[in-house]
Amino acid sequence: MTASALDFVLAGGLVALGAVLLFSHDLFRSLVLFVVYGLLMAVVWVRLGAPDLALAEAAVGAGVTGALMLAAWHRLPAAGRRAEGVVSGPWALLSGVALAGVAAALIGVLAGLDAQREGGLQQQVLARLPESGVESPVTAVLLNFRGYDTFLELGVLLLAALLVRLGGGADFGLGAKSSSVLRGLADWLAPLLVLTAGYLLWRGGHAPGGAFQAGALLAGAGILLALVYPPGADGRPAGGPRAFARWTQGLRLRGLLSAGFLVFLGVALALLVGGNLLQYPAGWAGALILLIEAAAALSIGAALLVLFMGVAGGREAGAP
Amino acid sequence: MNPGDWLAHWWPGLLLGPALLGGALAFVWPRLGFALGQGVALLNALAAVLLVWRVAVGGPLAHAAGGWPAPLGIGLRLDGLAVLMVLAAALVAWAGALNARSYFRAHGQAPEGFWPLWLFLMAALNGLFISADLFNLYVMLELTGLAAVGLVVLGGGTDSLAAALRYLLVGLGGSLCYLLGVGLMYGAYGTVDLPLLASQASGPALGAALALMTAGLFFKAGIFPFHFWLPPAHGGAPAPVSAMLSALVVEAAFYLLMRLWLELAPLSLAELALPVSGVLGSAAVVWGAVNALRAERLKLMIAYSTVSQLGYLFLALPLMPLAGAAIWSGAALLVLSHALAKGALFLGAGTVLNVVGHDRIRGLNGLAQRLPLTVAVFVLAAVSLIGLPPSGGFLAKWLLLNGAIAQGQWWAVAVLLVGSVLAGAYMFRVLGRCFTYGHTGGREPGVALAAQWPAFGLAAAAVALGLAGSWVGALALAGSPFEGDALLGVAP
Repeated sequence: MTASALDFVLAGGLVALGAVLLFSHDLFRSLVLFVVYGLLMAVVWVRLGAPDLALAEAAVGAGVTGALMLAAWHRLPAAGRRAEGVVSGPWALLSGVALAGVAAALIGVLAGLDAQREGGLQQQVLARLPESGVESPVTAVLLNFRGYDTFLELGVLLLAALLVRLGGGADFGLGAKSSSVLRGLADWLAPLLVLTAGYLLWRGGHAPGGAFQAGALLAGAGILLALVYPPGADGRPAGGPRAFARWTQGLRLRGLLSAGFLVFLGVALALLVGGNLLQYPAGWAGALILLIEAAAALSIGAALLVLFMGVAGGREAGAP
Repeated sequence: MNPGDWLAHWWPGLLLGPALLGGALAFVWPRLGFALGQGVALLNALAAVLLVWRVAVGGPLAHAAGGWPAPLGIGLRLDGLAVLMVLAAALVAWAGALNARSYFRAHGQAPEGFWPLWLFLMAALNGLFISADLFNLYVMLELTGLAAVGLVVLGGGTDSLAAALRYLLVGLGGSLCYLLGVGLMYGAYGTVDLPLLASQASGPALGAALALMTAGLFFKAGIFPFHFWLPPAHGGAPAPVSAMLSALVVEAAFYLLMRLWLELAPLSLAELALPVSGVLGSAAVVWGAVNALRAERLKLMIAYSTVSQLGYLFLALPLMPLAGAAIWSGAALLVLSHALAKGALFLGAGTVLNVVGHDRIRGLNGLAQRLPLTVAVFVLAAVSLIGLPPSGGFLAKWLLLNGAIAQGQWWAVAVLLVGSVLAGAYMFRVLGRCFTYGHTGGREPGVALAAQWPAFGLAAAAVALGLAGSWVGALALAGSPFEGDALLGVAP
């Protein structure tokens, strides 16, 4: 792929945005710019031929992370919202210079790399793709060739959700007043998001998509519902879909959070009877991968929702 | 199928399955946490002993996760050093689990989240020790780090929270550095498999990648001057947690450095870069010990002692490429004996904290009369930490000294000796208080033996390690880049 004028605009835009958001004195503006930065980054991934990453970046990097940061901003006392720039002082300058030096050295090393090595394991992945049970090379790597890594990443996500609960989170709803317009929008949008998540999940078998992207969309639907239907006196979401209220707390929520990990673990250990750790038997790979991905999408959605709620849920400083 | 073959196939499942399953179930049903924690910790210890036997008898084991051979898949391997680390982690985790019940009983029960985090930490450490894949190691580092941070939070209070947050940020920074190195490695050589990289990689990209990964691991290992996060995090966590963090989590980062620099890096690069580790290690030995001498609280003193003892390991690193077998075995023995002794010390300190109500060193007069068994733990742990015969610490330092003298590295000899004297000083400062006559009430009633025996077991094992030294040293060499007799030329 040759670089076009668009690429230069994108690269320049990223650097400029990064600088502005780091040196802005208004934290809120920095946060909004961060979301824009994520979206721009997603476009860059598309240009680099990595649509899976682009989807993940837009959904998780810009979407969920942005929502998380805005929720954290909401809890800051007013004095904390105006910062002396996120970075300032001589130490910032020094570390900036040091980082720039490291980056320059890295670029130098990268430029000197043997061009023939480019592509890494691509050839091998494509050669073994027919045995993997799926048609998308990315899904084949994530769920089959390096499924062990993905399995443990789900463990990382489970731990993150657990940590948020330790911090006293998982108190659902923002307690904000929600208008009937917002409510009407959510009633339409949430089912559509769930439907799209299902589509992305199924599509992951042969094209960009899969559990992480689907999970991010599920989390989006959950965040929307939690924002629109604040908790009643008993702490449960008042109104909204009854299933949502039921599955976002207690044992059911914990089950949902660990479902992906447990299914993956069960498959891994069961397969050890006949082969290696996570070695799918011939012909079963496709079905097992879909099963794992479906459970993983639910867990990922639940974990991202818990992360958001853990930050947004409290009613301390700054909350109305 | 004979039992050896059965183990050769199931070992990854044994090391990861129970702990991960137990951790997830303890998360879903918190009430089962205690039973799961005790059961899995015991099971894991048994599995570790079995696997030590298997590797000692039948040699190193390998496993291709997913059935895909590297470079496409992820390679796992269990060689002598890995299985010894697994054993150390399993013993400390088991002792910690046994101790946890009585430790937390003073506060009602173990805080929610303790058992899932504990079990996940056990699994993550096992996974880290057996991985032969740089990216998989990154995932394991993340899992280890997150579980460790969660456990530090359980200390309660804003101090613990601040220490945990700092620990988290340092850990994430270290991880990112490491990941950048892995990315560079993959970009340059098209694989992240350690054995393949060792046979293929060369050139400036290898040096740059190793530098990035090493910088990240320096943060995670808490080596001077990157140790600033360690004392508050290890000193403020609940005692069983401190034991696990100080004994194993920081040493896991060192274990990775050993793998990177002695298995992956070419000799010329190692000779060029490793003196940095020697300098930092020497500084850490002295700085940690001096701060341990000045610490007013027992747990903080033990945490600074960790900073100092880690220094020995980094000091040994530059000696290894040339001295080979002896130093490799010495470092393995040092890691093992430090893990056991440090685990014992922290568990003992937890008992003191619960019984006496504080851990100010000045206020420990007469402790030998109140808590004789716990003071015995301190004595035995001190024997190993200082390096008195016949402990594992003694044998390890002896091997390091031998290697340093053989290479004419007199600075290392000097640091080893000064460090031992300082370790003696800070340990005797505590022991002196304990044996001072200052308490007339006799033995403290109502201290559960279950709180004290696990710590005693660990301390006794650290001392006994020296007696099994030649066997352990030989086992550490199984599958290592070095050959030969570990104890050659050690005759006194």
